[in-house]
Amino acid sequence: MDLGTLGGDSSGAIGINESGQVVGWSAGSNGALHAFRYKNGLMINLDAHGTNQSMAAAINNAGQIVGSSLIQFTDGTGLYYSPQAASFDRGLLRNLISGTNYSAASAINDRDEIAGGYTPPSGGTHAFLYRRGLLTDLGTLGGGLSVASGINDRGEIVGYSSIASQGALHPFLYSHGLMRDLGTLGGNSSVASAINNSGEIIGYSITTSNLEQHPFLYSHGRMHDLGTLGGSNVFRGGIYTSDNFATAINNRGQVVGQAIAPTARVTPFFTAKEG
Amino acid sequence: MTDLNDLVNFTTTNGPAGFLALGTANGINDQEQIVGLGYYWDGTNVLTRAFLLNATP
Repeated sequence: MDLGTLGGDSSGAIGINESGQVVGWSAGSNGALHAFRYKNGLMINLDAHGTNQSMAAAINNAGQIVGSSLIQFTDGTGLYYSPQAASFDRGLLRNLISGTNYSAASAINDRDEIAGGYTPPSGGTHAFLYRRGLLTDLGTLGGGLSVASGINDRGEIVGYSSIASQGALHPFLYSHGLMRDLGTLGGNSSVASAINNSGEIIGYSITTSNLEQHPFLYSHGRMHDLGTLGGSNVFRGGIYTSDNFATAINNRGQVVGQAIAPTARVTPFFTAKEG
Repeated sequence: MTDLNDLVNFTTTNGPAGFLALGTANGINDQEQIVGLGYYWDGTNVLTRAFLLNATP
Protein backbone atom coordinates (compact mmCIF):
# COMPACT_ATOMS: atom_id res chain seq x y z
CA MET A 1 0.00 0.00 0.00
CA ASP A 2 1.30 3.43 -0.98
CA LEU A 3 1.14 5.77 2.04
CA GLY A 4 1.33 8.89 -0.10
CA THR A 5 3.23 12.07 0.79
CA LEU A 6 2.79 15.42 2.53
CA GLY A 7 2.40 17.10 -0.86
CA GLY A 8 5.83 16.48 -2.35
CA ASP A 9 7.20 13.69 -4.50
CA SER A 10 8.84 11.31 -2.04
CA SER A 11 8.40 9.63 1.31
CA GLY A 12 9.80 6.77 3.38
CA ALA A 13 8.41 4.79 6.31
CA ILE A 14 10.76 3.88 9.17
CA GLY A 15 8.71 2.61 12.12
CA ILE A 16 5.36 1.03 12.99
CA ASN A 17 3.66 0.28 16.31
CA GLU A 18 1.19 -2.43 17.31
CA SER A 19 -1.78 -0.20 16.35
CA GLY A 20 -0.48 0.05 12.81
CA GLN A 21 0.53 3.69 13.16
CA VAL A 22 3.47 4.41 10.84
CA VAL A 23 6.13 7.13 11.10
CA GLY A 24 8.84 8.36 8.76
CA TRP A 25 9.69 11.26 6.52
CA SER A 26 8.01 12.91 3.55
CA ALA A 27 8.66 15.80 1.22
CA GLY A 28 6.25 18.67 1.54
CA SER A 29 4.99 20.76 -1.35
CA ASN A 30 8.09 22.98 -1.12
CA GLY A 31 10.40 19.96 -1.23
CA ALA A 32 11.48 20.15 2.43
CA LEU A 33 11.40 16.87 4.36
CA HIS A 34 9.14 16.59 7.40
CA ALA A 35 8.36 13.91 9.96
CA PHE A 36 4.99 12.22 9.42
CA ARG A 37 2.58 9.91 11.18
CA TYR A 38 0.22 7.73 9.13
CA LYS A 39 -2.92 6.58 10.91
CA ASN A 40 -6.29 5.40 9.65
CA GLY A 41 -5.44 6.22 6.05
CA LEU A 42 -4.24 9.76 6.77
CA MET A 43 -0.67 11.09 6.70
CA ILE A 44 -0.14 14.14 8.91
CA ASN A 45 2.83 16.48 9.20
CA LEU A 46 4.32 16.17 12.71
CA ASP A 47 6.20 19.43 12.35
CA ALA A 48 3.55 21.58 10.72
CA HIS A 49 4.75 24.75 12.44
CA GLY A 50 8.45 24.18 11.86
CA THR A 51 10.66 25.77 9.26
CA ASN A 52 13.44 23.20 9.39
CA GLN A 53 13.52 19.66 8.07
CA SER A 54 12.69 16.71 10.32
CA MET A 55 12.35 12.93 10.36
CA ALA A 56 10.45 10.55 12.66
CA ALA A 57 12.42 7.40 13.49
CA ALA A 58 10.22 5.49 15.94
CA ILE A 59 6.77 5.32 17.56
CA ASN A 60 5.82 3.41 20.70
CA ASN A 61 2.48 1.80 21.52
CA ALA A 62 1.29 4.96 23.33
CA GLY A 63 1.80 6.89 20.08
CA GLN A 64 4.83 8.80 21.36
CA ILE A 65 7.16 9.64 18.47
CA VAL A 66 10.87 10.51 18.34
CA GLY A 67 13.37 11.35 15.64
CA SER A 68 15.40 14.37 14.72
CA SER A 69 15.22 17.81 13.17
CA LEU A 70 17.82 19.87 11.35
CA ILE A 71 18.89 22.91 13.38
CA GLN A 72 20.96 25.81 12.10
CA PHE A 73 24.30 26.47 13.81
CA THR A 74 27.03 29.02 13.29
CA ASP A 75 30.75 28.49 13.61
CA GLY A 76 33.90 30.19 12.33
CA THR A 77 33.21 29.04 8.78
CA GLY A 78 29.59 30.18 8.65
CA LEU A 79 26.17 28.57 8.89
CA TYR A 80 25.63 24.84 8.92
CA TYR A 81 22.78 22.45 9.74
CA SER A 82 23.02 19.49 12.08
CA PRO A 83 20.42 16.96 13.41
CA GLN A 84 19.00 17.35 16.90
CA ALA A 85 17.07 14.65 18.78
CA ALA A 86 13.39 15.53 18.92
CA SER A 87 10.00 14.35 20.10
CA PHE A 88 6.78 15.13 18.24
CA ASP A 89 3.53 15.80 20.03
CA ARG A 90 0.32 17.23 18.53
CA GLY A 91 2.07 19.05 15.71
CA LEU A 92 4.81 20.45 17.93
CA LEU A 93 8.45 19.48 17.67
CA ARG A 94 10.46 19.55 20.89
CA ASN A 95 14.23 19.19 20.94
CA LEU A 96 15.36 16.84 23.72
CA ILE A 97 19.00 17.71 24.29
CA SER A 98 20.54 21.16 24.60
CA GLY A 99 24.16 22.24 24.48
CA THR A 100 25.29 19.90 21.72
CA ASN A 101 25.68 20.43 17.99
CA TYR A 102 24.63 16.86 17.12
CA SER A 103 22.05 14.45 18.48
CA ALA A 104 19.51 12.04 17.01
CA ALA A 105 16.89 9.80 18.62
CA SER A 106 16.64 6.30 17.15
CA ALA A 107 14.16 4.44 19.34
CA ILE A 108 11.53 4.77 22.08
CA ASN A 109 10.01 2.06 24.27
CA ASP A 110 6.64 1.87 25.99
CA ARG A 111 8.13 3.41 29.16
CA ASP A 112 8.94 6.63 27.26
CA GLU A 113 12.67 5.83 27.38
CA ILE A 114 14.51 7.15 24.34
CA ALA A 115 17.83 5.97 22.87
CA GLY A 116 20.12 7.51 20.27
CA GLY A 117 23.45 9.22 19.77
CA TYR A 118 24.84 12.66 20.56
CA THR A 119 28.05 14.65 20.77
CA PRO A 120 29.06 15.04 24.43
CA PRO A 121 31.13 18.00 25.67
CA SER A 122 34.27 15.86 25.36
CA GLY A 123 33.64 15.38 21.62
CA GLY A 124 33.02 12.34 19.43
CA THR A 125 29.64 10.62 19.35
CA HIS A 126 28.21 8.63 22.25
CA ALA A 127 25.09 6.53 22.73
CA PHE A 128 22.53 8.02 25.08
CA LEU A 129 19.46 7.13 27.12
CA TYR A 130 16.94 9.93 27.70
CA ARG A 131 14.47 9.25 30.49
CA ARG A 132 12.14 11.67 32.27
CA GLY A 133 14.18 14.67 31.16
CA LEU A 134 17.51 13.16 32.22
CA LEU A 135 20.26 12.32 29.75
CA THR A 136 22.60 9.39 30.45
CA ASP A 137 25.79 8.95 28.43
CA LEU A 138 26.17 5.21 27.86
CA GLY A 139 29.90 5.40 27.10
CA THR A 140 31.65 3.22 24.53
CA LEU A 141 33.39 -0.14 24.15
CA GLY A 142 36.71 1.67 24.40
CA GLY A 143 36.81 3.75 21.23
CA GLY A 144 35.50 7.24 20.64
CA LEU A 145 32.21 6.36 18.92
CA SER A 146 28.98 4.75 20.01
CA VAL A 147 25.36 5.05 18.86
CA ALA A 148 22.24 3.43 20.32
CA SER A 149 19.82 2.11 17.71
CA GLY A 150 17.22 0.14 19.69
CA ILE A 151 15.59 -0.16 23.12
CA ASN A 152 13.07 -2.67 24.45
CA ASP A 153 10.46 -2.42 27.18
CA ARG A 154 12.92 -3.85 29.74
CA GLY A 155 15.18 -0.87 29.11
CA GLU A 156 17.83 -2.96 27.34
CA ILE A 157 19.63 -0.91 24.69
CA VAL A 158 21.56 -2.04 21.62
CA GLY A 159 23.72 -0.26 19.11
CA TYR A 160 27.29 -0.13 17.96
CA SER A 161 30.56 1.21 19.25
CA SER A 162 34.15 1.44 18.16
CA ILE A 163 36.51 -0.71 20.15
CA ALA A 164 39.80 0.53 21.50
CA SER A 165 42.21 -1.90 19.94
CA GLN A 166 41.34 -1.55 16.25
CA GLY A 167 38.72 1.15 15.97
CA ALA A 168 36.39 -1.33 14.29
CA LEU A 169 32.68 -1.24 15.14
CA HIS A 170 31.17 -3.90 17.37
CA PRO A 171 27.54 -4.34 18.47
CA PHE A 172 26.72 -3.71 22.11
CA LEU A 173 24.03 -4.58 24.62
CA TYR A 174 23.62 -2.06 27.44
CA SER A 175 21.73 -3.25 30.51
CA HIS A 176 21.97 -2.66 34.26
CA GLY A 177 24.51 0.10 33.67
CA LEU A 178 26.97 -2.05 31.72
CA MET A 179 27.85 -2.05 28.00
CA ARG A 180 28.75 -5.49 26.69
CA ASP A 181 30.46 -6.37 23.38
CA LEU A 182 28.36 -8.92 21.43
CA GLY A 183 31.19 -9.87 19.07
CA THR A 184 30.92 -10.66 15.36
CA LEU A 185 30.32 -13.54 12.94
CA GLY A 186 34.08 -13.89 12.69
CA GLY A 187 34.89 -10.73 10.75
CA ASN A 188 36.30 -7.49 12.03
CA SER A 189 33.11 -5.45 12.48
CA SER A 190 29.43 -5.73 13.29
CA VAL A 191 26.47 -3.47 14.14
CA ALA A 192 23.27 -4.10 16.15
CA SER A 193 20.07 -2.50 14.85
CA ALA A 194 17.23 -3.50 17.16
CA ILE A 195 16.14 -5.58 20.17
CA ASN A 196 12.73 -7.06 20.99
CA ASN A 197 11.08 -7.60 24.36
CA SER A 198 12.53 -11.14 24.58
CA GLY A 199 16.03 -9.73 24.31
CA GLU A 200 16.60 -11.01 20.77
CA ILE A 201 18.95 -8.69 18.88
CA ILE A 202 19.45 -8.23 15.15
CA GLY A 203 21.92 -6.40 12.94
CA TYR A 204 24.71 -7.25 10.57
CA SER A 205 28.23 -8.57 10.78
CA ILE A 206 31.21 -9.10 8.54
CA THR A 207 31.80 -12.83 8.21
CA THR A 208 34.99 -14.78 8.82
CA SER A 209 36.48 -14.14 5.40
CA ASN A 210 36.01 -10.37 5.85
CA LEU A 211 34.54 -10.41 2.32
CA GLU A 212 30.84 -10.67 3.07
CA GLN A 213 28.31 -9.00 5.33
CA HIS A 214 25.39 -11.05 6.68
CA PRO A 215 22.38 -10.23 8.86
CA PHE A 216 22.51 -11.78 12.33
CA LEU A 217 20.16 -12.77 15.12
CA TYR A 218 21.70 -12.76 18.62
CA SER A 219 19.81 -14.90 21.11
CA HIS A 220 20.64 -17.12 24.08
CA GLY A 221 24.12 -15.67 24.24
CA ARG A 222 25.06 -16.54 20.65
CA MET A 223 25.20 -14.69 17.34
CA HIS A 224 23.47 -16.66 14.57
CA ASP A 225 24.07 -16.03 10.86
CA LEU A 226 20.68 -15.43 9.16
CA GLY A 227 22.20 -16.18 5.76
CA THR A 228 21.35 -14.47 2.51
CA LEU A 229 18.95 -14.75 -0.41
CA GLY A 230 21.76 -16.23 -2.47
CA GLY A 231 23.60 -13.12 -3.62
CA SER A 232 26.78 -11.86 -2.09
CA ASN A 233 28.52 -8.80 -3.47
CA VAL A 234 27.25 -5.89 -5.56
CA PHE A 235 29.47 -3.60 -7.62
CA ARG A 236 28.29 -0.09 -6.81
CA GLY A 237 29.99 3.28 -6.94
CA GLY A 238 33.21 1.75 -8.10
CA ILE A 239 33.51 -0.71 -5.22
CA TYR A 240 32.05 -4.06 -4.23
CA THR A 241 29.61 -3.86 -1.35
CA SER A 242 27.71 -6.54 0.51
CA ASP A 243 24.37 -5.07 1.52
CA ASN A 244 22.94 -7.92 3.60
CA PHE A 245 21.60 -6.59 6.91
CA ALA A 246 18.68 -6.82 9.34
CA THR A 247 16.85 -3.65 10.35
CA ALA A 248 13.95 -4.61 12.64
CA ILE A 249 12.59 -7.49 14.74
CA ASN A 250 9.14 -7.92 16.27
CA ASN A 251 8.22 -9.65 19.53
CA ARG A 252 7.55 -12.90 17.62
CA GLY A 253 11.17 -13.01 16.48
CA GLN A 254 10.34 -12.17 12.88
CA VAL A 255 12.99 -10.09 11.13
CA VAL A 256 13.07 -7.69 8.18
CA GLY A 257 16.04 -6.22 6.38
CA GLN A 258 17.83 -6.03 3.06
CA ALA A 259 19.61 -8.80 1.19
CA ILE A 260 21.20 -9.34 -2.18
CA ALA A 261 19.29 -11.64 -4.51
CA PRO A 262 21.10 -14.02 -6.89
CA THR A 263 20.48 -11.46 -9.64
CA ALA A 264 22.61 -8.97 -7.61
CA ARG A 265 19.47 -6.93 -6.93
CA VAL A 266 19.22 -5.55 -3.38
CA THR A 267 15.79 -6.45 -2.04
CA PRO A 268 13.94 -6.32 1.29
CA PHE A 269 13.47 -9.64 3.11
CA PHE A 270 11.23 -11.07 5.80
CA THR A 271 12.05 -14.10 7.87
CA ALA A 272 10.26 -16.09 10.52
CA LYS A 273 12.05 -16.98 13.74
CA GLU A 274 14.56 -19.79 13.25
CA GLY A 275 14.00 -23.03 15.10
CA MET B 1 14.26 -15.76 4.32
CA THR B 2 11.60 -14.50 1.91
CA ASP B 3 12.11 -11.84 -0.75
CA LEU B 4 9.32 -9.29 -0.16
CA ASN B 5 9.34 -8.45 -3.84
CA ASP B 6 8.05 -11.99 -4.44
CA LEU B 7 4.92 -11.25 -2.35
CA VAL B 8 3.68 -8.21 -4.27
CA ASN B 9 2.16 -7.62 -7.70
CA PHE B 10 3.78 -4.62 -9.34
CA THR B 11 2.99 -2.24 -12.15
CA THR B 12 5.37 -1.35 -15.01
CA THR B 13 6.48 1.94 -16.50
CA ASN B 14 3.94 1.29 -19.28
CA GLY B 15 1.18 0.56 -16.80
CA PRO B 16 -0.98 2.39 -14.27
CA ALA B 17 0.39 4.21 -11.23
CA GLY B 18 1.76 1.94 -8.54
CA PHE B 19 4.88 0.39 -7.10
CA LEU B 20 7.52 -0.96 -9.47
CA ALA B 21 9.48 -2.64 -6.66
CA LEU B 22 10.09 -2.49 -2.93
CA GLY B 23 13.46 -1.10 -1.91
CA THR B 24 13.99 -1.33 1.85
CA ALA B 25 12.11 -2.76 4.84
CA ASN B 26 12.63 -0.72 8.00
CA GLY B 27 10.02 -1.84 10.52
CA ILE B 28 7.75 -4.75 11.49
CA ASN B 29 5.13 -5.16 14.21
CA ASP B 30 3.67 -8.29 15.81
CA GLN B 31 0.84 -8.39 13.24
CA GLU B 32 3.46 -8.88 10.48
CA GLN B 33 2.82 -5.41 9.09
CA ILE B 34 6.02 -4.24 7.39
CA VAL B 35 6.96 -0.68 6.46
CA GLY B 36 9.71 0.75 4.30
CA LEU B 37 10.19 2.51 1.03
CA GLY B 38 9.68 1.44 -2.54
CA TYR B 39 9.96 2.71 -6.08
CA TYR B 40 6.66 4.18 -7.27
CA TRP B 41 5.53 4.90 -10.83
CA ASP B 42 3.15 7.89 -10.97
CA GLY B 43 2.58 7.64 -14.73
CA THR B 44 5.47 9.96 -15.54
CA ASN B 45 8.28 9.58 -13.01
CA VAL B 46 9.78 6.94 -10.70
CA LEU B 47 9.52 8.23 -7.11
CA THR B 48 10.52 6.99 -3.66
CA ARG B 49 7.41 6.24 -1.60
CA ALA B 50 6.59 4.87 1.84
CA PHE B 51 4.84 1.49 1.83
CA LEU B 52 2.86 -0.63 4.27
CA LEU B 53 2.67 -4.36 3.54
CA ASN B 54 0.90 -7.20 5.30
CA ALA B 55 3.32 -10.13 5.10
CA THR B 56 0.46 -12.54 5.75
CA PRO B 57 -2.42 -11.64 3.42
